[in-house]
Order: sequence, then structure tokens, then C-alpha cells
Amino acid sequence: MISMRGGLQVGASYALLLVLIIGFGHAVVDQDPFWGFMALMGLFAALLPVALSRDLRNILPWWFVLLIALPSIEALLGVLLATHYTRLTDAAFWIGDIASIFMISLALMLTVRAYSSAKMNRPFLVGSTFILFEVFIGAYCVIDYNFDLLTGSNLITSNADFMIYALASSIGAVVLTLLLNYYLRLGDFEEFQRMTVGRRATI
Amino acid sequence: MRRAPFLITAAFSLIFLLMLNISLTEGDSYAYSTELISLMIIWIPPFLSRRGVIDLPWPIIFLIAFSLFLNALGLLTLWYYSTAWWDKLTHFVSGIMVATFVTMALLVIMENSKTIRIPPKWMVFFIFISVVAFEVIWEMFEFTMDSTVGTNMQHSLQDTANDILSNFINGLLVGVVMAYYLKGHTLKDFVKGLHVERTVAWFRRNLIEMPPSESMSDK
Repeated sequence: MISMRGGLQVGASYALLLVLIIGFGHAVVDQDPFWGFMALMGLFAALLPVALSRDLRNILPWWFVLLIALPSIEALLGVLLATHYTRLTDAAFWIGDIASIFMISLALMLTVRAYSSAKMNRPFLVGSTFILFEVFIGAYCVIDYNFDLLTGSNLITSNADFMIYALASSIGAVVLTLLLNYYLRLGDFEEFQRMTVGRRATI
Repeated sequence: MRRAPFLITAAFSLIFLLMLNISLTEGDSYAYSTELISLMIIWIPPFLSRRGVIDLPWPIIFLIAFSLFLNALGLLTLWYYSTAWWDKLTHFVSGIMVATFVTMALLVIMENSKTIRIPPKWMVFFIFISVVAFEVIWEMFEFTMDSTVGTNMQHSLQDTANDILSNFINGLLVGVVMAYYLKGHTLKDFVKGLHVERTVAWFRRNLIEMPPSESMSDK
């Protein structure tokens, strides 16, 4: 039976999915294909444990979905408050971006570990999360570049524009990877997995 | 030293020496420094084999030497600048090489670890993400080198995007081929042929083995 607290938390996760859906809609209207794609990936990562376990309660925890939805929240706040880009908002957006991409990568790797026949120990999972993060950074370049080609937009203004973003994000991802590794090393890894994707490893 | 790897290394050494001679005559510092580095790199596998670190199979040694040769040839003949697909070709070959190394590393890890096991169908995914991630990291390395040392490794945004896209494709292709290959072969024989016992023992001793309290969370 779901406790009130557990029910509220699951409800909060589903409420945050709405933010991701609105974020996807905003990305479509704003013609921002990469963040539209990432909003879909966020939805996919959050709902994959639900689909695999056929249990609605196994959605990612609210704080996990919140981190995934940060770029959508920032984009929506930008619309609501009609704020303009400043150095400060740029930095906040960037932190939100890397946190979101990293958490989507982590959610997907945890789900693979929990629901497939693949066995992974902590260092392997943490390393794979970083690797998947870099794949999304690569996808950002490919998606936005091709969108610019097709529509004549100017999402990536130059090679340096993308490379500096990639470098800065990768440095951020290295920091997050080390923090995650340290956090999982201190705590109970299996419990963390159960708490996030709702199932202990099959091993 | 085994015969085939030695012959491959010796043959490519001669080719690189010849190319080095031409580049030195022409005074192309970028080309001759690349050839010199390539010449040093192709002797790493025999060196590692001699030190008992790893015995790479000859097709992999050939692949390493061949991808370095294509890179050096592109610089020597200026095909990197005049032929649009040359860059794609070198990235494709090096992508296969990276995928092969990733597969080998995964196999060695799996064979020697009780807590990591990747079934062949999941190998496609892990090889794919590793190849693409390596490509993105390589692009960042190129950009850093261009910005700090003044090399001309990265040409444009189009070049970067196409390189990454081509690695998305060949990462997937190689992943599928490798997974298919692994279905019909046993892990043990492949890993045994690499003679990595000393290397694995070193990793175990220095990096993997932890105090009992920490090894609990490692599971």
C-alpha cells in the first residue's frame, strides 16, 4: 500500500512530467530541436522504469525528475518573467543543462542495470553515465547543426561556440561523475537504485 | 616476438620513414611531426608485448598502423584539404579501431570481473556510446590543440558535426558486427590470446582491490 508521503512524492513526479511535456512544447514553438529531444528523453527516462515494471509507482523520484526538468523550468520561467539573457542567467542555464543531461544519462544507465541482464558494478555504471553524457553532447552538435542547415536558423553560431559549450559541459560532467562516484561509494548503491528506478539489480 | 605483428610494424615503419623524408624535404613541420609521432606509436604494441602487458592480435596492430598511415598520408598529400571525403575515411577507420579497443577492454573486464557482465545484445549499445563519446572527446582535444598550440586539426563546424555524425553511424555498425562476432566465439579464448594476466593483476592490485568496507558498495 502506498503511504500518503509516498503517494505525494509519486504525484510530484507525475506533476513534473507535465513540466517536461510543456518544456517539449516550448522547445517546438521556440524551434529548439535539441532541448525538445532532451525533454522527450527526460520523459522516456522517467517513464521507462514504470513501463518495464508495469507499476505506476516506479516513476523516478520527484527530485530526480526536477533535475531532469531544469532546462524546461528555466525556459518556462524565462517566458513567464520575460527575462533577457544575462551572464547570470547564462550560467544558471548552463548548470541546469548539464545537471539535466547528466541525470537523464544516470537514469538510463540505472534502468539498464536494474531491468536488463547486464551486470554493472559502481565504477562501471558511473563511467558509463559519463560516456552517455558525452554522447548527448555529440547529439547536440549533430541535431542543432542539421536543423540550422535545414531551416537557416543560427542555433550554433560557430565551431568555437559549440566546442566551448562542449568543453565546459564536459568539465562539469567530470565533477558530477566524481561526486556521484563518491556519493554511491559512501552509501548503499543497491538502495539508491531501488529508490530511483524502483528495483534492485537482478544479480 | 610473433612474426606477423613484427612484419606489419616493420613494413609501416619503412613507409613512415619514407614519408618523413619527403615531409622533411618539403619543410612541412605539421606533417613530419605527425609522421614521427606515428612512427613511435606503431612501436608501442611490440613494446607492450615484450613487457608482457598485452599481446594485440595482428589485425588490430594492422588497423592501428593503417589508420595512422591514412592520417599521415592525408597531411602529406594535402588530401585533408582537397578531398572532401578523406577526413570521413580517416574518422571511419579510427572509429573502427576505437570500437575494437572498447570491445577488447569490455571483454577483458568481463572475463576478469564477477560484477560486470554485458550480454552480446547490450554490447552494441556500449560499443556505440563509447565510440561516439570518444569522438566527442577527440573533437574537444582537436579544438584545444588548435587554440593552444596553433595546429589546424579542426576545420569548421560542418567538419565537426559531420565527424560526429559519421561516428554515430560507424559506432552502430561496428557495435552490431562485434556483437554478432561475439555470439559465435567464447570470451575465454579471445582474452587468453591477449596474454593480459600481468596487466589485470596490476589493475587488481593497484586500482580495483579495496578495503572490505568499500568493496560492499562496489557490488
